[in-house]
Amino acid sequence: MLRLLLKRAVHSFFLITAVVSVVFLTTFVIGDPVRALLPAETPEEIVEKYREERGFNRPVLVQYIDYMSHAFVGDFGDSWWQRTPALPIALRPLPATFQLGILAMTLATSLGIPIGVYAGMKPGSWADRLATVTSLLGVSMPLIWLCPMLAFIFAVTLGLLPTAGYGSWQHMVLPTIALAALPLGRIVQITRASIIDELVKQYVTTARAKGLPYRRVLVQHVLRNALLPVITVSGWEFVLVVSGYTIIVEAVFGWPGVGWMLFSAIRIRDVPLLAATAFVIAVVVVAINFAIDILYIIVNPLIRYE
Amino acid sequence: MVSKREFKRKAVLSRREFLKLSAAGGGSLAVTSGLGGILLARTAPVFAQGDSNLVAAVGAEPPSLDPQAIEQRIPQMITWNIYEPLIDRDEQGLPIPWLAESWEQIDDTTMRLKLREGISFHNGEAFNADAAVYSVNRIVDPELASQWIGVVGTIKQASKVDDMTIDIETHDVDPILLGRLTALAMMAPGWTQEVGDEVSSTTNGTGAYKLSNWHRNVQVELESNEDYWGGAPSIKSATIRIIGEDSTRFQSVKTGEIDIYLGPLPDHLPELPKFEAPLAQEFSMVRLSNLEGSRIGDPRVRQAMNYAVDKELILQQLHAGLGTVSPGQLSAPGMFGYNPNLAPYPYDLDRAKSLLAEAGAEGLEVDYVGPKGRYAGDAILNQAIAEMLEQAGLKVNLNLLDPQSWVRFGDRNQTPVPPSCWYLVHSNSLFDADRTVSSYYTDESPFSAYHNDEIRTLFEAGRVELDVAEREKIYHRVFELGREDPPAIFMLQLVDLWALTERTQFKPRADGRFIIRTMSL
Repeated sequence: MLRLLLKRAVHSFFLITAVVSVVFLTTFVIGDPVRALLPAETPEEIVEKYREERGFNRPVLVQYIDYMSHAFVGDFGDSWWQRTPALPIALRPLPATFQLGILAMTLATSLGIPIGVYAGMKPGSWADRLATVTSLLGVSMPLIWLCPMLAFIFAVTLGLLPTAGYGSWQHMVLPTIALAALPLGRIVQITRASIIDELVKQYVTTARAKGLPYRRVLVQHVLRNALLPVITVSGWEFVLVVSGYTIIVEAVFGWPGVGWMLFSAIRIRDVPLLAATAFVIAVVVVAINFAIDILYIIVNPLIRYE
Repeated sequence: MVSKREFKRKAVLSRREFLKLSAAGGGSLAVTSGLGGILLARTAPVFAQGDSNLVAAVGAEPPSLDPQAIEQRIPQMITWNIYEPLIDRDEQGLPIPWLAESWEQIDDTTMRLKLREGISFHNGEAFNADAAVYSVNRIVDPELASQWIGVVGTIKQASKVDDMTIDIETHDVDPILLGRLTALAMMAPGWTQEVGDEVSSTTNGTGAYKLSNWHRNVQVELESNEDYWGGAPSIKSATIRIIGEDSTRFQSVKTGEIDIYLGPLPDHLPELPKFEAPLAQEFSMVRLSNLEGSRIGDPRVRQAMNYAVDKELILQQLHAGLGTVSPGQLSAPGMFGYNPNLAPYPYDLDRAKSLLAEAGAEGLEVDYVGPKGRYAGDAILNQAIAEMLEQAGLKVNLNLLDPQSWVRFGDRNQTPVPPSCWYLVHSNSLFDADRTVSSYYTDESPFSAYHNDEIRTLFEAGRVELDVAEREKIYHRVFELGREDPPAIFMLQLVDLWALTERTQFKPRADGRFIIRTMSL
């Protein structure tokens, strides 16, 4: 276990370093960050002055080493936009994103697993078909369409919920549904497929033949094995929810989370803030993957990680 | 052994078991929603609007509320309700006394201003000569690195004459100092020095509103200053919400969750409850080069290009009819120096062709660089212009570039021989022809690609002319000359677009400032 943790930590370190390096390359090297920062009509002397002040006139390798050595201690420089350290600004919206992400994943798993199990036990039945079609719908609806549609139906037309914002439970409903749609669809599909696979395995037949009650076979053996891929998918979906889907959902519903911060940082071309936000997201992704690995061991003691 | 088929038949979860599973799912769902509710219980719901609370939406969080550091539209929508300038503008954009009651030019580089008495900052500090001197000197201090420096950079320093009088000294003769002072917010010296860096997140002005709460990334809340020197405002509180998406702002104004926002998309106009579209000092143009190396140095070619473009059609089809055709100059009523005697170039394809023939420029190849993604609908707009130029008989090499590369082509420091045509929108926040003329009628700025000896001489005279009538005459002449030797295809004067709910009474100002005290619900 300790070796695993150590190995993982080294892994994570390289992964995060790679992410930060890519951000450096794309934003500092490709394109002129100073030109992007200043208004179009800024005189050349002022552009030069900025370049010098911010060290953009130094060789790229020197800039890179300097940048990375600061990044390792969490110093991404001051946000060009707010003129205060970028990392605290990037961390500020994290709780709001987790709030939404955890809620959406709870909704997706608590509905998706039972539906998937039920559909998997009766493949071909009307209930199974309904579940399959609905989950396909959830998987294939693009968020950029789904979010405005939800707002249009429930806020503009029916007037039941606010269109956007943060502050009451009503504000959480639409973004949660939008965020949960995709993971829900995938979880239903994977659970169903996994249950179907497990049910025809030899050990089920053996257990049944030995007279073990069906319910015990299902809950203690089948479900336990079938849930392994479900955990993988759920974990992966959670990563996507927190680091990907939220960019659209938070922008549309005015939710003050990390995705929205990333969107803003790109739009206002705030390079240090963008780098800090990418770093925060990378750390979150690594942490979630870590948690999934540990969950694996708990669910399936066969996995030892040599 | 049980066959597969038999097994499947049996392998059905009983209804009771299914119900149990679902109940477990539902239970955990209830727990999370409960948790969510508790987490959020500390903030009040915001989607029901009170009678005297105005809700505005902006697309991004303000970077700072220091009115002297940041020159950006979004923070200004907040700060000009809290802080005030020495000189303000009336609805037409002309300078009027504000925190300064009167002024006189005492020599070429010094203006003396008499301050209004009996005004205090929100924290009780008095507004007097010390405060005004401090504020002027603070904004030009390189230490602050103010974004306003392009506007107020001509100011050297301020000094106190007596308790209610100050002198402002400029580096050079500055005929448009009054206009510059409208950009200079008055701050309280004691408070500003005391709060230090907090000046970006707290406020203390003389204005009709005070900051009551800034919920980061969510909204900024203002409350009325009941002791405001101009009388308490009718709207008692205002919320400026941060909503990044165009379509969400649009839907929120339809449901009445927000009352006003700047810049709805033209597509959304027909469905808005109400909107205002005042003309702004913003001009779309295709900059034409006559500098060395240019293929269109002959003024007749540039005139022909002006005749060849159907501005009216573009206005109706691509700008939803909002705006007006530029009157043969990069200026319009409301800008000092505007020449009322000039008319727009009419759309006249035959005239364009004959001018090109005269100049021997039929089939001439011209480079055209336009932005893609810098202005709404810019790609299609530039394609339309290029197409019209081709119809007149030019061969246009159209290059639509991402905004960063596009800027590089406009900057002579990076592209020494400028492209013949370069599309942009020019905005003049100073309301004075000097700003526009220096940028596009001379080669003063790296972003201009034009030179005309006579205009250059006039421009230099205008810079140091303090006599208002004389100065106006100079610019009249500049624009007249510029119509005959065009520095651009004069396209359109554009609008500032505001989306409103029915209940919101709002009269936009010429300078585009968002002043809540002048509004009502």
